[in-house]
Amino acid sequence: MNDSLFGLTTYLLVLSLLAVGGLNGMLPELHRIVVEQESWLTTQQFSELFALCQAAPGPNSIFITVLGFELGGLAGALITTTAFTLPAFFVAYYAMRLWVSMGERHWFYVVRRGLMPITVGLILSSAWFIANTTAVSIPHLFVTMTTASLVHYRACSPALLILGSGVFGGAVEWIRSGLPI
Amino acid sequence: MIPIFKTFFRIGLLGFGGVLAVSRIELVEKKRWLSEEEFVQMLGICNFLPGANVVSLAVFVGGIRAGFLGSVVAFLGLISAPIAIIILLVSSYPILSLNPFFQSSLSWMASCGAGIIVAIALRLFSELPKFKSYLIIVMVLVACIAGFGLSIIPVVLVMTPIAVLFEASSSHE
Repeated sequence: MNDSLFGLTTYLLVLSLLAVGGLNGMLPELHRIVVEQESWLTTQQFSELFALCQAAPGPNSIFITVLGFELGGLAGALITTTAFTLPAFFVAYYAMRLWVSMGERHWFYVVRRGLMPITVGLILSSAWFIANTTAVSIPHLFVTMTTASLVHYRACSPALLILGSGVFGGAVEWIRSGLPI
Repeated sequence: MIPIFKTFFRIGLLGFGGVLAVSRIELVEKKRWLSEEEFVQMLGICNFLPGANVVSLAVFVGGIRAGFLGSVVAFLGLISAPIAIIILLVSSYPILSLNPFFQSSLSWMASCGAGIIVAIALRLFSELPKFKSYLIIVMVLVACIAGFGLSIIPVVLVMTPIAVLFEASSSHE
């Protein structure tokens, strides 16, 4: 294992336990270490890779996998992913055991219900952010709104809609570039 | 075990723009492994755990259905497809990033993914019990985070005790 990969791995083991609310809140800190302090990546590489992770399917903490891949290939990807997910996995597992053993105790029920509007508020805010960042043009915004109403009112399959818009995107570019064969 | 793996594999594979929206469709609407309230409450707890909230949610759902091994299977199911895809994308990125068709497809798929999230966010909001205290808390959160661009962690740290106190002092059941 090379030095930078080792450094990143030890750092991630700690970060894994601190990253409450996912990777997004930790992004400035990660940028500080990876770009400013250690110069493993340039700012441009950092943001390009993060944008790619946002566009690809999955939780955006797979950015950690990408960092490991950049520093040490497939083995690097495996190591950083494990370092970042394993501590959090065990915390979640024991929290789940606690959840089951608490059952319907009154105070726990109150906490769970009290959290509901917080969760919904957070999800509405992140929907707003994501819709904003992906709306690079009016037609893009139109696709977002059409998808939202198709899923909401018609319960359309997300898989088909995503596949369809991928093909549509290719077709748009094909027409724009003058229908080459 | 196999249904757990398959369900979370699908969630990972289809989770453009984050896997939350697809989780809700698969776990609540299709599989009915969680009720609407359980989904929101469990996710609420997972927001306070380290790491991605949907990964913790997978560990919860897998574990409740099939113990420790269920958690492991759900976790692996959720992350295996995204990891394989992102490694393929990153290793071919120098070539792909120059391809206008790929760029265009990706940006439209991202917009579509955003639409799915908007739909699920609205559905969760419409299913939240219509208590005045809930609506106020949701509005304050959205105003602070989306409106004024405040950092999520302090907002949540301040609002959560308030929300739980509201809940404890109110009589609604």
